[in-house]
Amino acid sequence: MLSQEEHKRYNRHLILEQVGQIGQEKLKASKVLVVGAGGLGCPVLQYLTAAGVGTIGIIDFDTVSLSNLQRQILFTTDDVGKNKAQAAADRLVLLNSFIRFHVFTERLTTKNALDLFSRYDLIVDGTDNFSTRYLVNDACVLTNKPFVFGSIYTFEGQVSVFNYEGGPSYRCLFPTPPKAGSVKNCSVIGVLGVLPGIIGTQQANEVLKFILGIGEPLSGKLLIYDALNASSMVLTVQRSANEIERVLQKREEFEHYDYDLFCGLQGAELNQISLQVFKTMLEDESVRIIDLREEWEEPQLSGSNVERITMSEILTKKERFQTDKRLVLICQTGSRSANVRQLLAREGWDGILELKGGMQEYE
Amino acid sequence: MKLKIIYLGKIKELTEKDNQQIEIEKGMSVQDLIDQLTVEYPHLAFESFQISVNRNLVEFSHVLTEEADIALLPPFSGG
Repeated sequence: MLSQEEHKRYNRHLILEQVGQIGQEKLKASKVLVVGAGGLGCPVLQYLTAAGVGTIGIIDFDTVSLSNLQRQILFTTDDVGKNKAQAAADRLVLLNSFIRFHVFTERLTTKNALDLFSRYDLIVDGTDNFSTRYLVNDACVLTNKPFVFGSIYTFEGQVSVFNYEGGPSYRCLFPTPPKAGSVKNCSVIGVLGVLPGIIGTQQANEVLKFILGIGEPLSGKLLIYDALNASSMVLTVQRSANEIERVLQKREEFEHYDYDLFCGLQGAELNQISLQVFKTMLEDESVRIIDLREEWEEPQLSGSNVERITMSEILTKKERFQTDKRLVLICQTGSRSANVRQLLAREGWDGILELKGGMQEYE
Repeated sequence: MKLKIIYLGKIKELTEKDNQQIEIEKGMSVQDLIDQLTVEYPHLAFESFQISVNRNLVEFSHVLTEEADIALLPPFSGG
C-alpha cells in the first residue's frame, strides 16, 4: 500500500497507464542490488531511488576520489575519502526516505556473491573491471538472477540484459576475457563525463521495465552507443548453452575460483597456480594446458584441453605456444615449467601460468 | 563483393577510422577476413573482439556469402 505522501511523490508514475498504482507497488516491493557505485552506479542508483524501488543494495569497497567527481554525480567534494556505497546511500536517503538501503562496504567476492545475490530480484552491473564482470555474470547464472549490464570506453557504451528468462549471459557474448592489459579502464584512458550518465540511465530504464513488466527487455541484444555522433546500434546475441552449462558445472568450485587469475590480473610473482585452481581449468576450452613431461611420468593427466610438448621439443617448436588461449604449463615438480615459462617470457610471451609444485601432488 | 567494416571501441583507435569499405572474394570466412585486416592493421592480432555480420554475432568460421555490414566489437571494461 502506498501512503498519501507516496501518492504525491510518485504522481507522474501513477497517472501513466503502464505504471499506475499496481506498477508503483511493484517498484516498492522490488529489491535491486547495484554492484559498484561509480560512473554507471551513480545514475542507476539516483533514478531507482527517485522511482521508488523499495529496497536497494549498494556494494562498493572503493572510496571517493577527486577525479571521480567529473562523472560520479552522487558525490560532493566533501565525500572525497569516504566509502562510495556509504556516501551514495547518505546522499540518496535525502532524495527519497521511503527507500530501504543496504550498504555493503566490502569487495564483491566469490565468498559473498551467491548469498548476496540470492537476496535480490535483479542485479545491476556497474563494475569497472573484467574480473568482477565475469564474477557478477557467473554468480547471476548460479543464483538464476537476471542482470542489467553496462560498460563504457571513452565515448562508447554497451548495454544489455543478461540471464533473463533463458536468454544469453555475458559469457555468451564474450566467452573469454581479453588478454591481460589489452583493455584499459577509465583511469588510464579517460572517459567523457556524461557517457556513464547516458549508459547508466539506459540501465536504470531496463531495471524499471523489468520490474514493471513493460516494453521489451534488452535481452538477447546488445545496445552500442557512440556519444561522438549520437548513434546507436543493436546487435543480436545468441544464448550459448555450453557457456551457461560450464558456469553451472563450476558451482562446487565457485567459492575458490580466482577471477583475477582468470582475467590475467595477477602480478609477476603470481604466475604459479595452486592445484585447486588448476583443477578448475581442466576441460576449460579457453585454456591450453601443456604437459611438459615425458610419456612415462605418473600420474597421467588427460583432458580435452591437455596436450603434451616435452622439454626436448620446446626449443624447436616454440611457435606451438602462439595462441589466443591462456597457457598453463605443468611438469612433475614445477621445475621444468618454471624454466620454460621464463624462457618464453624472455621471448615476449607473458601471462603464462605454471602449476605450483607440479603433478607429483596430483590426485 | 563489397563489405562495410564498422570499427568499435579500441579497434576504432587502432585503425584510426569509424568504418571502411573493402572488396573481398565471395566465400571467405570471417577468420580469413580478420587475417586480411591484420595485414593492414598488425595490432589487431593483440586485440580481443567479436564479429557481427548484419548485426548478428557470428563464429569466426562463418562464411561470408553476400554483401554485408561487419562490426568488430571489443569488450569494454569501464564503469
